[in-house]
Amino acid sequence: MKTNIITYCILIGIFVLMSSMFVVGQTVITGEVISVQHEKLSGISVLALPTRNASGILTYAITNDAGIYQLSFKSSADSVFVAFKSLNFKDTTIALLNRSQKLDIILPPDVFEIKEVSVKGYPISVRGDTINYVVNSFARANDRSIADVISRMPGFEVTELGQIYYQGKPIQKYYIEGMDLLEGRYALANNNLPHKSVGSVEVLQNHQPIKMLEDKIASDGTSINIKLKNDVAITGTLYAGAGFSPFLHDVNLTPMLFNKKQQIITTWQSNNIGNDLNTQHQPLVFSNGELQGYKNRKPELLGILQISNPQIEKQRYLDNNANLVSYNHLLKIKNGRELKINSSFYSDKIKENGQVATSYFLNNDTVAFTETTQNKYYNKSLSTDLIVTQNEKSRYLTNKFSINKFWDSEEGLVRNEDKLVQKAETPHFSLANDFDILLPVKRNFIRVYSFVDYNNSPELLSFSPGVFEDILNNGQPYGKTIQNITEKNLLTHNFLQYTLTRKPWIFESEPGIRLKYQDLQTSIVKDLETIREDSLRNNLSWNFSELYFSETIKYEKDRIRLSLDLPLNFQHYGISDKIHTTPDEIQKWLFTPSVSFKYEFNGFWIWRMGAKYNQKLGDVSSLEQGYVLSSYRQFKKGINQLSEKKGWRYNLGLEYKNPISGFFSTVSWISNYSANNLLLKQKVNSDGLLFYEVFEKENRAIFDNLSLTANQYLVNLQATIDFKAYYNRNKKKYLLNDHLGWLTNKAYILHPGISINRWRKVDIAYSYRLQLMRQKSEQAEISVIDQKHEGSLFYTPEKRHLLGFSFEYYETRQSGQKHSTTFFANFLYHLKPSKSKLKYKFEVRNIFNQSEIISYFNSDISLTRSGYSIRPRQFLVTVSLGL
Amino acid sequence: MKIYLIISILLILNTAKAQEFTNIDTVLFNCKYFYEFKQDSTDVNSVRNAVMVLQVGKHLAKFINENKMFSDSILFSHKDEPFTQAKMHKILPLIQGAPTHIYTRYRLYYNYPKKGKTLMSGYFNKQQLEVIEDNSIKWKVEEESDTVILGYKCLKANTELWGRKFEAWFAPDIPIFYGPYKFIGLPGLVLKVSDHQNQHCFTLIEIKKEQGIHPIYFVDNNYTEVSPKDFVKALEIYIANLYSRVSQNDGIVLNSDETKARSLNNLKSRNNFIEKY
Repeated sequence: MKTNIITYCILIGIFVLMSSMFVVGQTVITGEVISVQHEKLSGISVLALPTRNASGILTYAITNDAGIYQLSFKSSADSVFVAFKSLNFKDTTIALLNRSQKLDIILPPDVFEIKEVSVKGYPISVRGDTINYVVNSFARANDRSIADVISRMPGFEVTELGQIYYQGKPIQKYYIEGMDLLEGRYALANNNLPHKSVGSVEVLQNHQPIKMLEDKIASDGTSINIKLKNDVAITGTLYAGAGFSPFLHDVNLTPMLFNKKQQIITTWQSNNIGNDLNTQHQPLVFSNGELQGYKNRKPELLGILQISNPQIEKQRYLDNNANLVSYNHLLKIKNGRELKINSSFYSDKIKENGQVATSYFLNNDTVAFTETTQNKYYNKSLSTDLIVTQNEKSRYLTNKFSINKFWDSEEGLVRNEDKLVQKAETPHFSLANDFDILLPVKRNFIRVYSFVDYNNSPELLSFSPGVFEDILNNGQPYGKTIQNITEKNLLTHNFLQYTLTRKPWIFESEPGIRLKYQDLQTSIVKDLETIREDSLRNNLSWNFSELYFSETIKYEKDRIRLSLDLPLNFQHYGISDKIHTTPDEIQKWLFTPSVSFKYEFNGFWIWRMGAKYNQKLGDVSSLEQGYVLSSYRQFKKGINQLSEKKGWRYNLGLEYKNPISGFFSTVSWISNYSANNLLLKQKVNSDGLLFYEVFEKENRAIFDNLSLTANQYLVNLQATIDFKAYYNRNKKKYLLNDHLGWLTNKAYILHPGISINRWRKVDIAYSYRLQLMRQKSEQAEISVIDQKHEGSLFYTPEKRHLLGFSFEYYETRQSGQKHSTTFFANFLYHLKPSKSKLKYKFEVRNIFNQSEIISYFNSDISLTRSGYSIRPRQFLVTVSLGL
Repeated sequence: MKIYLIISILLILNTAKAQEFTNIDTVLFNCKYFYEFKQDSTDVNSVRNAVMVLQVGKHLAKFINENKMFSDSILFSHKDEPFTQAKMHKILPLIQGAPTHIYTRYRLYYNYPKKGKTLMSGYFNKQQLEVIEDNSIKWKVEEESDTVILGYKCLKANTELWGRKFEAWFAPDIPIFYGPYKFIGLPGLVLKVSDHQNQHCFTLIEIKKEQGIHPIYFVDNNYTEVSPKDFVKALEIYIANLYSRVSQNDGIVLNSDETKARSLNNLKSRNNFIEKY
């Protein structure tokens, strides 16, 4: 038997050999690759190469863990090369006869010397932490500003306003030749600087704006630097638009100058098309890399009675005539010091017209009245910041000094049975200084921050003919009433920050001090004569001081996040009231701890919960024991103690996300229980006049909110549907005409929507919103239903053209009343010829020429129906040009 | 666009927090590729680009967007510090300064978690996903084609994958058996790959020898494992959700209809990921 098998094998062997000799057959070469130390070598490339042709390859293999390879190929050649290549062993090539065989090999060690190569001159280059984008490589024929080009660079996105997002987040510093001229208002430069003046854009990746902290700590933003082609550049932009009716204009002129020592950008903008220029005048606040919105530089103490703004886009109703001039200048001085001035002047004239119907629900009665209101607001203000920065390796310090002056006035004509003129003058002046310095302490840093602010607001509000005759003039009609309020304050806030870490624990400490001196005077003038009665004036001042220490303890490990906040405050008020009796001193310890917890499980679910204890003392205005006229219908006064609010807040949330099925959903619940030591006492008389007082009574309020959101992507339709639902409940005590009761507000909102992205040139979106508001008090039950349909359609036949249509349909109805509807529609055509410097835009706004929008607003005791006049149908053509 | 506002800082905080770095090898060679791709298959002008890095180690290799690699290395260097606000202030700007197109926001590991496997990870819609595949591309090497790229003699190989035909040029003289994206397994470094319609193209721009000191790390994020198809689907849903939020003014309010239309177009034009199913 044994011999049989052997014979068999020999026969097969001969057959195999024969076949390979006569036919172009499969050649199989196998073998083992080992090192000099007899280690089996894996990952060695084994190539079978033809001997005649220098290029080309017959087959290849890579040795396995046992060092074994197998090459099989077909070739008619007599011989082949087998090459062994690897990183750590000598390149070895062996010539063999072209037949199947075993080839074992021992490779001597050798280090593969690679020929290093690098391609130069491609549009994006990286030098350490800086990425350099060559502008010419990205610019296209119809690009105008540097913003146009930046938007095309990988990683960048630019908004229409010129703000830059890099990898989805806003950049913080925008340097031109290393100088930060405009700070948060850099869009002005980005949108108006022609790209032809720019050589390259540098992204400073590992950039720390504070040189002292370089390689140690970075602040919260990414920076870019615009490198100009020439040392000196004079450039800028211009666009102008016109339309009717009435005659509409929209102009923007922005010249600029840059050189090595200084930079200047100025701008003039003017429009009456409803673009709010105040947003460019107020400083934009960035914090923690997020846009916090506009900071209001002025407090509102008095004002004419406004018509509540409707809940629609501001551009639809803002009847303005605005001008803005700004001047920005940066000067480099020695030793890394920079001096900068940013100054802007804004003036505006805004008109507001409408019909207001208000109903007060009394115990046995409803007092209702209707008025026609025509208001005008004249705003004028100047704000100037002077900034000195020293930014060196050894020191970082910045000091900003700001002056703001407002000359605002308001004027309104109210028509009910009679005519009444209301006027307000609300000037304001403030001086502020912001100081920030960084000191190194071992490996960490201490930050010392100090802020000082002085404010003066002498405001007045007048009515003619005189109001509240019964109280102010023994029931006799008279000419004019003036309410004066002057508030002055001086405040300062200073703190230190320090962080200590012991993984997984983190401790953050912040001790600080706040001081505020405040002076408040109010008086009423009747026909040019100041009323001396104590009950109608106030003259008080106080010194407020607060010492605080805030400690945050965090625990972070795996999928658990726990955070505990323990702020402890000591507050002291020294009060001097020259007219009324008020305690001289109030002091209080406040402790407001909070805890939050987050847990993630199985990748799809997140669970969050938290609790917070709140405690808050009121403001000086609650100590106004003399009456103040806050409108021609309202008399208001405070009490001889501070309001104190305390309570708990809880939240609970659950989140589900499945990115593959495309379903995302969240459910959350928030509940707030609060107690207040003071209650507002509201009195309405049969003429609809309101008297507000405050008296001491412990009272509670409850607020609940439940919200649900869900979102599903439909693969087949290429559409996303989403759904939101909210429920709010607010329950509190109120007091009306000596009758104490509970007031309950409930709101239900359903908001589904769909958007479809399956078509190449067409975008369609639609959403519906239903809001049901119910209010229940002892005197009345009100319910208001609002519905809104909103949709848009965009058509882009090609890049140069854009056609757009958008609409909003509102319907609002109060129970028992007939409903009112408003239908807005806008049309837009945009043309950007490919080889032109000009861009054209044609718009029709409010196509159906709707004249007013009806909205309902409710307070505790009243319901107001307001009809707000909106901008009529208007046509607008805009041409933009780059200088 | 403002649309990205929704990818809030908090979100970054969360992702950054969960990351665990494991040192899995050290870098022997660094290869950089210039990746040019059309994000919109119907628009020849929609070319975007990115620099991608292939880090070659002794046992494995990693392929990643250069900027993502940079931000990872920053997170890595701070990994032992607890996650404080101060740390965030330190790290955030560095991470922010890393532009990665959505089509390059992955990390690829060859021969990891074990030999013969390829792992790809990505983060979409607040979810960390991973795909583990065998690295067994069926290459057809052309016998008679050669060209010289960057001074290296290269041979051409073809393959068909994900509904596209690709041709790759590799250098048998560089015994590094890796390449860009998932194009590995050829007997030599892949210096160039592109599909037949030239919609996705990787070209080597730099190759450098390293000292074997810098680590290659695996970034562990408690991934959920999905199929390659589902990975692409998650990417598409991510883009569709952004689209929906812009078009319905949901949390992302654009200042004019015109801006809105343009950003919708921009989002919609991202329809051409390298893997199409």
